[in-house]
Amino acid sequence: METTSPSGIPPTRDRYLDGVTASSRPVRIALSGEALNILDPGGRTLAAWPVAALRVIDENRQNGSMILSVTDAEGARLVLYPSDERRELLAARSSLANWQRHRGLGELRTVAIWSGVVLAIAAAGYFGWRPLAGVIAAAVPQAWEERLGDTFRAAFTDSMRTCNGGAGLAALQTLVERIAPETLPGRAITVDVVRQGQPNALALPGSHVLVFEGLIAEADSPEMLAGVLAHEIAHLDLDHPTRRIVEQLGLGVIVTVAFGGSDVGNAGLLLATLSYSRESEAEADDRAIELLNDAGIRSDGLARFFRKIDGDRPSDVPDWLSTHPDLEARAAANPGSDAGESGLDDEAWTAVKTVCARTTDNG
Amino acid sequence: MSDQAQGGTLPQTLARPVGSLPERQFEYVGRLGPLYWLFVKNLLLSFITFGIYRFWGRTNIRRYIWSNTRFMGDAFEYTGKGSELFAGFLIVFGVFFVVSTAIQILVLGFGPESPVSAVLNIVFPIFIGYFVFVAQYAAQRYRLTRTVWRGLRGGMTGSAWRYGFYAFGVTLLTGLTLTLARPWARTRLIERRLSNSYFGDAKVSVAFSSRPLYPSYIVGLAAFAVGAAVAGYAIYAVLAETNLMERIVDLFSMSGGGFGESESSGSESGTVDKTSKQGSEEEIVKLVFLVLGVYVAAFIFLALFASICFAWFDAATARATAGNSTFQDLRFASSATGGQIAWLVTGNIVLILASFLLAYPIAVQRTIRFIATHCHVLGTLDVERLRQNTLVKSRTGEGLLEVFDPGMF
Repeated sequence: METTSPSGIPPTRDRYLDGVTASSRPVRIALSGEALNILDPGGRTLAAWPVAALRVIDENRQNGSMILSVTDAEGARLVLYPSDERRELLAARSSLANWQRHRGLGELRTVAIWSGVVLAIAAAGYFGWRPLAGVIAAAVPQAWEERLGDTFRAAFTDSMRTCNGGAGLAALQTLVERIAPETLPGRAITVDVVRQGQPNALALPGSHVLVFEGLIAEADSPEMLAGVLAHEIAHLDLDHPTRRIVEQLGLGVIVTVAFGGSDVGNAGLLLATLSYSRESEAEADDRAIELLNDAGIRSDGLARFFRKIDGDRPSDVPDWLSTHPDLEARAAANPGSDAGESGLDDEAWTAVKTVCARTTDNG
Repeated sequence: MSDQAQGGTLPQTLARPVGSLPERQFEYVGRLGPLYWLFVKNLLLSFITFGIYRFWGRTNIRRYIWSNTRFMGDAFEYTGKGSELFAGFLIVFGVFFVVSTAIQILVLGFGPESPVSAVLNIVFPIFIGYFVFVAQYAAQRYRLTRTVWRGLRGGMTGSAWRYGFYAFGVTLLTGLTLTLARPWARTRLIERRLSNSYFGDAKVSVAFSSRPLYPSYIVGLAAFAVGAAVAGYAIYAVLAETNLMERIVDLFSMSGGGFGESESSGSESGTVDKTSKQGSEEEIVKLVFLVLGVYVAAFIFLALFASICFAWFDAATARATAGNSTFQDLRFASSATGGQIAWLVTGNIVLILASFLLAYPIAVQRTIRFIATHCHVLGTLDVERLRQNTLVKSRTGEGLLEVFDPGMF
């Protein structure tokens, strides 16, 4: 790939670039002790480079030339073609001959160290983030939590029709207040019933509970309903809604910045969310049983409700993909006991069951 | 081999008469094999180092490309380091982590409906948009200061932050004109970036009018608008014909509606829907993939179509930029035609997509060869007069660009 340049430099000759101008001078080299002398064709010394400070920039595979630089002369380059002088130089300093291996090893060492650092940070984040999110969530001012919760609640009650059976709502309210522990932070819990077919209920930040019509329809007994309500109150008691928001915010920020919102990141985020959610659900189940026992209500309703629902659901969704762990496993983990009252007397239970009846529906 | 590369004949009409100036070209002698090896090594090592190796991998690929590109018989040198790219990334990561966390906390605190949150939600995308331009400028400076030829390095003057404001404003104006002012905007931004660029102590000098870019742009825009309308109608027709959206909405409202909503708004109870006789999750997944498929197909079509529609505009831009630039006594010319650019770009898109990114090195190779073939340098460089510059080197590299625009290499 030799080129005849306009200045008439002969091809395949060693050349020197002084790093000051772009001119390329033909030179020859002479090794003398610890110095590499660069001489012009007339034998004049253009530069003397300490051999210890030499570095190989690149090697041209086509014509065999090597480009060398020296530490304290920025831009100065020496282009050496295979010759006896070059062989002598490379023999004197083996790191020049093995320049590629040296560079590759240095690169790998740096990357390995940084991977270790990142792994350590990631591990600290993964295991430390949930407890930290709990601390942050606890520090979130009550007023913020309530404002946020009110917005979420409004988002549901504005977009879905609500059930307004007065006696039923009052009965639900009484039941919730009975289950809620004295120590529950913040204001009193509100209960809304929305016209949604799924047997579901939600705990929102700021002490709000949403009950879906389908849940009331599906519950065969007051203790089933009490069980699910206790589960939601347990979420509130454990500050789960706020914690979950903090957890997700933190994860979302990290994943977005690290992966630029790519699919890899989203998949990772989903997995992290799922695993957090399972832990929260198990915690809430445990706490629900405690709350029911403390309130003197039969605590076997939750497990029975899980088993009932489990029988209805299609079994083709693998457990690990679902936000909620296997219902049977959860029922088995917290069977509860049949000691205690049912939570609602017959009159109140009838009122709750008809809370969405058309006659009282203003929504 | 002479400096005259194969292919690429000079256009007959240059912006300025060049008489019988000697012509040279950049020579790219890189081969696909080594490039592939670097690419695969980058892929594998990035995978096992949590993506950290990619900064070093990219540096190695650049070093290969630079050192196999020659001018006047001498190769370029890429002196950037992986650690510089990594440091740049860490800085930007830190800044964005702090800023986006602060914003999320404020939105949480003031409530999503408050005016403060509304303002923050507008300000953040603007902040990002501004940073993309800052990043473009900073990245060009980084690459120039890390490029050495015959012992001299490149450089760039001017403030990236100020360029960010300028480019953001120009782009905003373009938007206000429904992108009709894009040739003007492009011209101004190229001028701004290029005329602050140095190699050695000599500066590129460029000034040109956007007028010659208008015909190709307007025709391209019109064609693209028609194509986009057709694609839009096709999506609409497919979705309407198959009732896809309605079926999905039905399925979702029938089963597990609470799943999506509760994801960000609170903790659900442990209940799962039972009314999924018609709407099994499998069916939902199938339909969602179908809709996604329709959109992805439309997106790919539009990307390919756009690269054809605007290829002549790109060719005109390259011609005008090259034809109006001087460096020392050198002049430049571009011989790339719209058809050639369309072939290059659509080819790259198809190659990369059809191979699931594995043909990436082929696309890189094609692109560099293309640039080397179609960029012509006229005149003789006075090598004695070209001296080292004393411009400031950026300490860290491209952190911003890495986040926003991975670029080709």
